[in-house]
Amino acid sequence: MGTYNLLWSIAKRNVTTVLLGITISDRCVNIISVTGESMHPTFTAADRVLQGDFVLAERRCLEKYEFSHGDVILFKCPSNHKELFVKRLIALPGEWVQLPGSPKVTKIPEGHCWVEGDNAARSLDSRSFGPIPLGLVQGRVTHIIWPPSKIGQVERKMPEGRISQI
Amino acid sequence: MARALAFAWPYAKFCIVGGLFGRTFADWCASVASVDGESMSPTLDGHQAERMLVEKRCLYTYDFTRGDVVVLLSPRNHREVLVKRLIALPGDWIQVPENQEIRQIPQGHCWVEGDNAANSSDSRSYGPVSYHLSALLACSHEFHTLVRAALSICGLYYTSLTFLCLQVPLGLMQGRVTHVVWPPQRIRRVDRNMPEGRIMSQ
Repeated sequence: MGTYNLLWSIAKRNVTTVLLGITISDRCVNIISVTGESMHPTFTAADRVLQGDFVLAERRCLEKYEFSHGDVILFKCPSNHKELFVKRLIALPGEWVQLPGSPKVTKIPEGHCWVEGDNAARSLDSRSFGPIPLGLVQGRVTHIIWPPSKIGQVERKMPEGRISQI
Repeated sequence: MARALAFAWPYAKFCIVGGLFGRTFADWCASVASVDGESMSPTLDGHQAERMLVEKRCLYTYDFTRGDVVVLLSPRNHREVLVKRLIALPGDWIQVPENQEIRQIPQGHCWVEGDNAANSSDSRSYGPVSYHLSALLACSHEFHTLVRAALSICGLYYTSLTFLCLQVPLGLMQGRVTHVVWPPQRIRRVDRNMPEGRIMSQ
């Protein structure tokens, strides 16, 4: 009987911790490992999960969808819903983006945004799959927390002269 | 003061844990949502304040079947939630209704449609512009076709019709509707249902 009580209280505490953990990771903040080279030099190029940078992705922004130009965001890839991509947000709905290397200018439709990787040569981003619906966004990367040499805030940065608002 | 806190604390704990559990359950297992609008009638009718059960377990493996009624974020407005029927999965060939075009659904995308589009040629379901025009001018079938053609040239009809038929990335899916749970006289299962001859699957 005593054992049963002890087990029950341990179980209760574990379940509460798990629930709290799930709620925090869904709604507040999440730790993600970044792999791939498309955001070099902001994030280290890496092939495997343990070699990549670990970053803090905050999910509070989703409630109001408050994004600024130059934010690094986490989103589900439009051509593969099981994969998460990390890229920089370049343009918001209603803005005009000039595709690099061509005089063509595209308007971002409502509810969509334009994302690009910092390492333009090795990045699969909106230049290939077009503007993405804002509903695919899963969070915003705010800080790098590992490795220790790179601990710090992830800066907002915008490439010059790529967008205009009309 | 301390005694009042000590008295209230177990209840507060219970409420907090209950709230966490409820939220986690609603996000990961199933939740109840209300229906608005007419795009899914007669399957789901917004006018009778119906509530539907949305199950989220399909999102673990993105295990959707053609004909499911799904809940998704609108690609045009990330704050809006749509309820539509999933007609085609990636790789399928579908005939787009408004212009007889045959299109292949790209990887990671799917085609969703409201039931009402298939059921009636009454432009009431196609949005405010067409509704008012048809009410004013109706109503032979030939005249409807003429009106639709004229509006699509102006780009107005096409806009409101594509609201009901969309190609969307699968990442926008938020759940699948399995049952209607309110009002009591409308409790029933929501079945899988495919419109005839629209798709050719791989």
